[in-house]
Amino acid sequence: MIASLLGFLSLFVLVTLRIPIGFAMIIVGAGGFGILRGWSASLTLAGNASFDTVLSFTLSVIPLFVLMGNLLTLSGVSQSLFTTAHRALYRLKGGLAMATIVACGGFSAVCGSSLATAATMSKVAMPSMRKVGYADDLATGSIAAGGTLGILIPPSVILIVYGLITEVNIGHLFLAGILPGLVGVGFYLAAVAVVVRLRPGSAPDDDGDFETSRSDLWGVIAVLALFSTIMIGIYGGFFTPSEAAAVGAGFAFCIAYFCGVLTIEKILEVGLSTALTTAMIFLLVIGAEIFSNFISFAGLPDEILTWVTELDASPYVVMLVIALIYVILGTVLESLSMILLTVPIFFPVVLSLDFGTGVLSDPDMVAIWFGIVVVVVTEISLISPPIGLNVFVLRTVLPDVSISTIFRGVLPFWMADLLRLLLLLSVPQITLFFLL
Amino acid sequence: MSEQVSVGHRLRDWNGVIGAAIERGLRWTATAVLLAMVTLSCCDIVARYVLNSPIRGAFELTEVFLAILVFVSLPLAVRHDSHIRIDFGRALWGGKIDPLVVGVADLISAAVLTGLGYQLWEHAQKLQKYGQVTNSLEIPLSAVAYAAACLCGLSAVFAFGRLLSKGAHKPL
Repeated sequence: MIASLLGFLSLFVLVTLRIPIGFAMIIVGAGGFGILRGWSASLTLAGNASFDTVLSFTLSVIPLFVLMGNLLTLSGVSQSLFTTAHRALYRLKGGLAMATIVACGGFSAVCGSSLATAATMSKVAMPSMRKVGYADDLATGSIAAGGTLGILIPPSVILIVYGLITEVNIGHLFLAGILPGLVGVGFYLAAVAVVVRLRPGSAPDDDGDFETSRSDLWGVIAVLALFSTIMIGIYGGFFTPSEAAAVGAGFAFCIAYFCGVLTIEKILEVGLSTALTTAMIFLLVIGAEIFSNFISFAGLPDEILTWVTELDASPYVVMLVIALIYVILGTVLESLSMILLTVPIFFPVVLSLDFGTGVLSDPDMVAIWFGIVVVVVTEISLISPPIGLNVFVLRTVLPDVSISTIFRGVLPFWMADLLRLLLLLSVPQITLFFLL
Repeated sequence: MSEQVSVGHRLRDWNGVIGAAIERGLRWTATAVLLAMVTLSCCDIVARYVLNSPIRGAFELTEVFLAILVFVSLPLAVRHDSHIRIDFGRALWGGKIDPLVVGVADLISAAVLTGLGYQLWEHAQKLQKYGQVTNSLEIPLSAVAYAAACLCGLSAVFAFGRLLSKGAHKPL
């Protein structure tokens, strides 16, 4: 226990000293293992782990889905989604913010990253909301919050990583993400409605003075077709998630080609940004592998498991406490590292809980449900102060809006997220609906 | 003093010119590998369902492609500083000292990359000794591991290079 705590403490010190998290995990993991078990074993393990982790068929799903999202961002379907949602919703009070949420949900269905969704949608939605005169906090808040849907509505990089750590079927996780994602859209729309009710001035009426064209409709159809291909392909057993990602990337390549945006220069740009994200994710995955080896060897997961078992608390209380721990951790930890560091510790605990009869009597279902809960708390962390990454993405795209304005705008959505978390925790059927 | 300046400048020029050339090569490679992965999987699916004969070795080629992609991307990410760092340290000690802290952090990152590259090289030697190859295409895994080790080493060089180029912003 002491060794693991010292490990986490050193990790915290190193990342505070501005060392990239992946390198810090490698240093502490290899160092801790070296002290406990001997240096030669530890260093050999580090070499093996970094090579064996990446020589993998299943993990190829990550760069391919990232590539797909980047190609779609380039193709401009985000604009089509937004314009179509805008046309449908502009008569409602706060309709533009609602259209932003819906378009974010739509873009999430073809993009696995929250940061990419927020960055893409901010370029599309912000100019329209500015033109009509929306308050900055409502406008940026709806984009930052809507963007978080990216990791819940499949495909999702975070669900893939969760599936890889826990060996839960990725296709099932994707299917389980759909309904909680739609519930998320619903809660966010309600949050917009409440905000414009309380502060009517934040959302002036929209005269509907904007163009919609046939190509917007084609953009929406393309997104729907792409999403269906991926889901039917995976769930119908036609191809593995990795192959689905490749097909999706190929499909996105064609969409970008027909949108007339593909030049060699652009392809290289997409290649570079995909490579950068890939390296960023895999450094974390390799670092977490080495760090988890040390933590498991030091016995932390076993000790926590024994402790929770002896506690003999209600399983739902344990789940609630874990969710709360995540919400708190999420305010200081980066999302992917948080999942890589904590899921190996909490997953055995959650699987050991006895939920009695009913939908949660099957451990596979518990594993899927917990995965969705983890993703929802990660979404919350993305808009929690002080380091909510989506907020900082918006700040980068819109340098004239202050961080505190964005955090103020995000608050109603953050509260909607907490309510959604409680709902998903108390009614697991929502998550498992398509799997029962 | 002037001697120092010119040495520093020459080193930075080297870092700038050669670094940019290497970066271009890495970008092309990463893009090509990505497109190859997409094409390979799509062709494999078509071959499997339409022609009823999957491509031999598509599975292991994808594995090898991923390994190459990750290690080709590593130096690019170091050069573009896209590995995730936590920000709140800066609030503690302020923006003036921060570049110094980041410089030390880069030095440590470079050391980790050097160590990792060395371990990968040893791993490659072992793979070579045991003659490990992939199942059906018999691609020697040691070759992939040697490439990974070299690219890890290149990442370390880039991490040291970042220290040099940072010096460029300050008067010597």
